Amino acid sequence: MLTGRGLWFLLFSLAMLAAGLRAQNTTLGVLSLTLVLWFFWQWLLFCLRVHGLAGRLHAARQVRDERGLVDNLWAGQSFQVNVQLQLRGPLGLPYVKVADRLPFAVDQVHGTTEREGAVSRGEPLELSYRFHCAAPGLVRFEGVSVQLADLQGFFYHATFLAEPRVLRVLPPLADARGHVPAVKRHNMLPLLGVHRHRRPGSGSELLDLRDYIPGDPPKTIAWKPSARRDKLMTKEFESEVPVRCTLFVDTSNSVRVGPPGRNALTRLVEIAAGVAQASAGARDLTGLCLFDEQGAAEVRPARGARHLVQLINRLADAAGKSPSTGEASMRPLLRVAYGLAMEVYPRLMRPDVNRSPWWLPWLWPQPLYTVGKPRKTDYVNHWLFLILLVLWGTALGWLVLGVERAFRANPWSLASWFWRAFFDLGLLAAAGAGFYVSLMLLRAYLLFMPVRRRLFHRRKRLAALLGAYYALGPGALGVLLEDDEHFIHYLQRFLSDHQVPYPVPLYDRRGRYLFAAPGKVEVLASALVRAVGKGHDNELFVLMADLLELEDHLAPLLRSVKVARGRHHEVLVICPWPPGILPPGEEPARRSPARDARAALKRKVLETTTSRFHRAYHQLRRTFARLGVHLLCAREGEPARLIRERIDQLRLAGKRR
Amino acid sequence: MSSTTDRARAGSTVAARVYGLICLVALFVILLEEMAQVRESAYLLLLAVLPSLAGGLGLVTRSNLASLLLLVALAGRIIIYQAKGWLPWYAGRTAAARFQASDLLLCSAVLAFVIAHYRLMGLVQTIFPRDPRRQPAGPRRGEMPLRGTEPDLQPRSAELVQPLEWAFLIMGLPVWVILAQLVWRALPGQWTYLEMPDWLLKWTVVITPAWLLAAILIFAAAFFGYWGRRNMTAAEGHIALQDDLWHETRREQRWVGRWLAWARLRRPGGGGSS
Repeated sequence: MLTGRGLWFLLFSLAMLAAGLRAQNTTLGVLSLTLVLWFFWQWLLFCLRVHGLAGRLHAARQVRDERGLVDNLWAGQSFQVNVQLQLRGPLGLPYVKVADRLPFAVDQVHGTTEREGAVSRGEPLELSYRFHCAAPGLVRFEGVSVQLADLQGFFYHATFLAEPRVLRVLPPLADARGHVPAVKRHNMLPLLGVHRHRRPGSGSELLDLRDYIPGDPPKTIAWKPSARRDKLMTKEFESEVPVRCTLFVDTSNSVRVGPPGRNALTRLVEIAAGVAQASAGARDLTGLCLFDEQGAAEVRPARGARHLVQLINRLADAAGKSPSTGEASMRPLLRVAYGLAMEVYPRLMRPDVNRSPWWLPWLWPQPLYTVGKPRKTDYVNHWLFLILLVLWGTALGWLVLGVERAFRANPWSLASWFWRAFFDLGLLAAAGAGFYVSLMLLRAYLLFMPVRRRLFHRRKRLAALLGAYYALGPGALGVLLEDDEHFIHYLQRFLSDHQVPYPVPLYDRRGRYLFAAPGKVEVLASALVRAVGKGHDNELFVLMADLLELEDHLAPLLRSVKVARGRHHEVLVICPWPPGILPPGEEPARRSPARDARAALKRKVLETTTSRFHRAYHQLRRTFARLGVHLLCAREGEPARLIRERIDQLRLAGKRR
Repeated sequence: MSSTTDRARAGSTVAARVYGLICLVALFVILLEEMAQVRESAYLLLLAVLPSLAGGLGLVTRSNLASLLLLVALAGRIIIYQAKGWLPWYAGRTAAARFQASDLLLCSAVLAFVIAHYRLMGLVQTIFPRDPRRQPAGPRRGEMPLRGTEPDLQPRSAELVQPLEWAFLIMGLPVWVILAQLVWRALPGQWTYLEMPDWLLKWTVVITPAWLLAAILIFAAAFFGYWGRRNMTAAEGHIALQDDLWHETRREQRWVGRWLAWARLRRPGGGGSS
């Protein structure tokens, strides 16, 4: 609370007061007393203001566009944020600085996120700015940070008014840059179902004739066959149903990797949203299945505005997911998460609430068996006791042997026995003391290193916060403090929930890619078989999944695709393409020679990666082509159009039949 | 408003000028008061001018140390005067006299300078402590440090300064000085009635008030700590209780954790998963 400026002033004033009292000097005494009394009044006033703040400061947020308040955002559009800091207490704050914490997923385009001034009852402090949503997903507004200071800068207090609000950023609308169509384009609805279904229905094409059953409408009586057979016959017509399209969207870790808003998942979500909107526009039925390594969440095909909103909401939720792996390194995660916790939850990280005593890392170190990736210092710390015991034991043995040699000259003398025992015991005591002291010193050195100590304290406080935040139960603090894997998992979850990007390693210690996620193939295959089982007639199943370099794990999926094809369903596979890699079928541009070795190496790595992806793509394409399934690459703008074309082809096939 | 140009602009605002003017007036009053105590020696003249000079120098250089320099110079001058037995020409009094009208002027001027100077620093430099997250990235290895990569300071906006602020500043000065005079008068001449050696007895005038001050601070800290606990939210209480539980049962929890780790390592696949 006391700033450096205030501390120095207080120290000087107290020193002057001490000098005035010691010298009994009235001028100096009164002068220093004036300063000290004024300073303590300022301190008291500031303390009253700060402690009176709890529960009285409140931040109200409004997000709006040109039409008014909004609950959902749209990708590619800008929105206005108004934040109002209100104070309910009687005591005003003369100087406050408010800063809104801008979410990572949006870009500020206008206005400012900071404002300073006085706040009192009835006179709120307002700030307003405009932001732009680039990609679908989730936007989380955490709240506003409030900094208080007195006018002299002697005292300082920072707090955070947590007002978490999560808004969905929905994928852009398919028609034209996210503008809702306000002009009626056609004067009639599209035909409800133009795909013929070989079951009795209300279509126009004749399906079969059957005997008349009382109650059949007279207009369906086939008079000529009735006359020929001398009994009433009824015509049955084909059923006309709309095309049903089920979108399987991969949300596994493999597509989440990358910068938020620019990863493969965002592209898949945009494509799926475009297809869903286009299908809804044609009054087709669209279903959705979001799957990852753990399982699948399905939405049965349906039509209507409410269904479309449900699909888009689910897609937006999926787009906000972040990659996670237990193989991540703890230190960078801890640094990011601690910074976030200190900024957003300062009251829960206060030393009087969330204690971390200084002696904790020394007397209560983390056991080695729970360290995910032990370092050399961890091993040294763990084996220190044994190492020192061996070292000091060896030293003691050599010393005792030396003494024995020295006394060997006169082995039977009483005096020599006494001195030998005396020396041996003295050496033993010295070795024991040396062992203990060296153990303590080395442990103290290892455990009192600033970096380790700081990390331990940060981990302790974050573990307590995570345990309370996720309501993990009373034993969670101990587990999170000692089990690296659990702690890393919850750190990633904490950062992901707060929409904070964090570093993830792409390869493990053996050089294996961590985010291939082969488990999703089995999940996708099961979901496809379930969808086929519930399907009606020639349906379209669009598999939007990252299957590159998963050739060895595709067997279950290929079996499911065969089942779907055997039931005369159409299957289409869309593979997201990594950004920055040349799409298949495009020739690389001729480039000038690299300037230096680093650029040449970078180019070589890119070329190698590109050729590897191209090879995997062509192999995957051949594999699916054998089953009559097309594989597309999720490039900019194309796949949504291709899916719609495929639906149209299904319709045309129905017409030609 | 982090660049040097912006700070220069802030320094030229009306608010900054007014605070600068208050500082200058205060320095002038201090100088007059000091000059009044000079009798004939040039050495004394230098001593008298030194506090105002130190304060003025700090003010011109926009240094945070201006107030501290002024206080040190003033305290040094007063102690030297007393040690040498030099008294002002107008005072036929002893150094231990209790109330002086000139002290009122001097203390008001010093307090005005201190307040105005620190508020000026808040306007032209920073009012908040430096935030390490706002520090600009330093030069990389092998790169020359760039000029102007100063820490991102957070000055107070000059537009927020109200004329009422200056009025309260000026009007409050006599209150603090008179209060200090009253407190000084109320202080006892002898701080202990115990039998002590002479060298210790001289220091009781410092030690006893220091203890008194410490006791007041401890009481205040306990009061505000208790107030803070009273205002604890449910989440804060949850963490505090969870912390207490862990501190009490951490050995047992580690014992359970060790078995869990053993079970995880025994699972197929080695390290298990979280």
